[in-house]
Amino acid sequence: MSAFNAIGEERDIDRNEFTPGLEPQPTWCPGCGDFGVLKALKQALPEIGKTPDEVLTCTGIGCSGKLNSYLETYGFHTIHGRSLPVARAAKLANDGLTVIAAGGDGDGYGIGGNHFMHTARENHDITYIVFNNEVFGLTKGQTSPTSPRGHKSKTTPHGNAKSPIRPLSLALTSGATYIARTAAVNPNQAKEIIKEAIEHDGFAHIDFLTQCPTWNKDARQYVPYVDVQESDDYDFDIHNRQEAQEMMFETENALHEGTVLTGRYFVDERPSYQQEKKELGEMPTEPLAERYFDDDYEWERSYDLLERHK
Amino acid sequence: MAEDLNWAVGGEAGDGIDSTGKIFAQALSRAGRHVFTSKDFASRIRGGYTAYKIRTAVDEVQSVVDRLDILVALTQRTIDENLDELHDGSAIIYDGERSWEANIPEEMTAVDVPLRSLAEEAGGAIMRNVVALGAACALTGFDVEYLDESLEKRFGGKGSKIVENNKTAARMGRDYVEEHYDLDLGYELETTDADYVLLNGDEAIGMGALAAGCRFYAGYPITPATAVMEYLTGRIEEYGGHVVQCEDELSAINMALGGARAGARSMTATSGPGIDLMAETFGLIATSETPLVICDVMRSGPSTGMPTKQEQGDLNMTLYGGHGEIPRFVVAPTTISECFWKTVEAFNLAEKYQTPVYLVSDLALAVTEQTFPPEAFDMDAVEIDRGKIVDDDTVGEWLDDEGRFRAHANTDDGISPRALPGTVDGAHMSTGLEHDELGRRTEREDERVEQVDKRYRKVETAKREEDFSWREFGDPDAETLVISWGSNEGAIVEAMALLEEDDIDVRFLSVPYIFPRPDLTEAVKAAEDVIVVECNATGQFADVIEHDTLTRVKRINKYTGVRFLADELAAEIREQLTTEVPA
Repeated sequence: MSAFNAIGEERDIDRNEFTPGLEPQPTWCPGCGDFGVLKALKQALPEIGKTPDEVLTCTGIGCSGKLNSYLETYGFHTIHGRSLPVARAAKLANDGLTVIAAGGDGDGYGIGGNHFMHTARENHDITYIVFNNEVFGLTKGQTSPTSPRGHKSKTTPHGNAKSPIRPLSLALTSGATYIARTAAVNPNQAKEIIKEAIEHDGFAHIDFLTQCPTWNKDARQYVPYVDVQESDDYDFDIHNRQEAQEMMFETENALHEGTVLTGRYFVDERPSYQQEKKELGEMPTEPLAERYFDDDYEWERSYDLLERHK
Repeated sequence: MAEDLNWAVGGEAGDGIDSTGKIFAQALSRAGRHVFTSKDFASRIRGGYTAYKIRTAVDEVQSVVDRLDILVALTQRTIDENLDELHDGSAIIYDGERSWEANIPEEMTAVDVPLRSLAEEAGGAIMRNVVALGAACALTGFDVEYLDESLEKRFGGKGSKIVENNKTAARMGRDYVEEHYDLDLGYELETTDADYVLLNGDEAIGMGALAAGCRFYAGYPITPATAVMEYLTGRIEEYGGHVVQCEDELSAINMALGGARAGARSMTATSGPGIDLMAETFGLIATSETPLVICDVMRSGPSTGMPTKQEQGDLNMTLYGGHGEIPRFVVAPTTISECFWKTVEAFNLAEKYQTPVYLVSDLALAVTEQTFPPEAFDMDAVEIDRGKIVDDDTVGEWLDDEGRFRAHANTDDGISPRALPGTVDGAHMSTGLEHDELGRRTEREDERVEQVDKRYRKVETAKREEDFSWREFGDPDAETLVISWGSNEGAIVEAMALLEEDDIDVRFLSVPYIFPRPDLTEAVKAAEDVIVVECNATGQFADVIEHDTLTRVKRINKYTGVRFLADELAAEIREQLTTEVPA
């Protein structure tokens, strides 16, 4: 009998359960793309049978970091750039939990970039949603790692001289096994992609385009968008790394030329970190926190350890 | 003091010095002798001189002295580096067939043994150090058979032939000395029936963590803390746990935090540079009231400093580090066996008070192997207190009128209930932002003050409920009071024995708690001379004591990168007694 009685609990789930009594109404600016992520999550979680008590949402710092204040789950608001290590460790400690990490483009591709690379490489079984608005919103509009060349802001008055990061390509190169891009203006696709990402066994990365009407007025509202799976103009195999790579490259270029391409880009069946570690016998098959609560385990005394030092 | 033997093997990094020394230390331990080891080593980037030193006696030994009796020298530099410690009666084992010409002071006994040739004869040149061990046995009157079990332990994995060859090599070394030299150095190493365990500080911390129920460890390799991670890897799985090697220290502490949030007792260990990187998350741990043990095995700083050298320079960092004001516990084990017990205690403090704990050890503890009777690690005496974790039966007691879990409830003792993710009805927010009882971010003045006070109230509760006292040695009425923290305890206790021979009585308080810490005011006021001993340049603990007691103290500081030696320390204390306290 597990101590974590919410995990796998079979019952009807009302979508409204995910709206906290505490802060039902987000304080994001009117028209902010972040509303789109919240809405898609609130729809996706009950549709795949998850209850608020079995979900852990770890966020970074930024407007996006408030996501779990507006979503009823176990929420942990970390510091800038560190949502991924917290999230992936919680999943290791109890893999019955559904663990979602979220943050902005500065949080995930800038200050937390090393964690992004290595969480992907190790293929931790969590979902990572990056709210990509191509700007630092909460600190009032500075240039971010995804801001396009020429983007003007208080920190780049003559226009951004640097090329933006390529989030999808970076995820692929680093080793992510589910990679998608969606947009706040495309709620149905967003919901479906989130469901697939959560159910994927491994590191699922969603680059979520979230328009910032306040600090990135130059940017498009990410409309019209094109779903690369539905459009006849694009044909590639999402299980083929090379084809995925070319499609990502084209998608990243197109964004800055005014065409918003979205959809699934890459899916791989590579075993997750925990699957691999369990096979090697380096990781127990039950939650690490379980034995403290299970009366069947006599508390393990460590006399054997002393024998090795004789 | 004369009952002890001081032995060393030294050579180039890569000569197998460490494992050779450890084989001998294990053999002595198995023979029922006490052992205290130390290492001279340079960072491997440069290679160079390295030595493994053993002090052994029938009685307990707990420090290093400035004397070397038997030296196995694989290089001339090994002799040169140790000239200060060698004395007229010292014997030096070396290989006269090697290319270097040994320059050994005349008054010492040179024992030329063809280590390589004999090893080749026994089955391979690689065993030359074992030949030297056999030679050392002959010089010290130590039965070579005691080496056998150590050799089996070390080489058992490589097959019985290798083990047998090594045993042969050891006997050839012994026989060579007995046949070619007619020496009586006066050593006849006594053996006893005592049953000892031999371990270093990092291993004791790892063992303490397992005994305390640590189930998740995240770390990044760094000298001298890596051995904690290496100890746990391969062992923790047997107890239902897991070790992760992270991409950097930022990840290490945040992963340890994530494991703790999900309910596993979690830990990370690092050294000074890693602590610097972890400081930001340290505040998050305290504010979100997450239990976590962060071990700092100190080394010489600042910056990269002297990575393989001893220093106690991080007291201020662990006591004050981090922006804002952060409630914490800072615990500094004073001996290797205390590394075990303080680790157990650190996990209980962390979970009872939902507060981060700095477990501050140092290089001297980490690289020293010392013998203890197994009772020093009485596993049945280990108690585990997980604090106020709620389950499905008790979660209801902590819901507000609208059914929301009060994760930061403002209780009398400051300690709030803790619902682990996966508990029905426990869902709540927790954050590094200031927050109210429910975890909702706030900037309201009353709520801010309430939560700050609540978090510090946990420390006040701990002061009432825990025993944060010092370890006392010597004459409680002595006019001379010596105070220290961390690993200097053994050297000071031995220095006191030397001072006693000169009729100098000392009261010694060894303080393992840096925060909260015992009140030393009465002890300081009662003493004529107060001397604070620590391995750093500025006297960080002395500053704290002056602050606490409003009294100026004398200081003995060592920051050469080498720990205190008992005889050197006795001389310094004697010297301090002739000086005036600084104004």
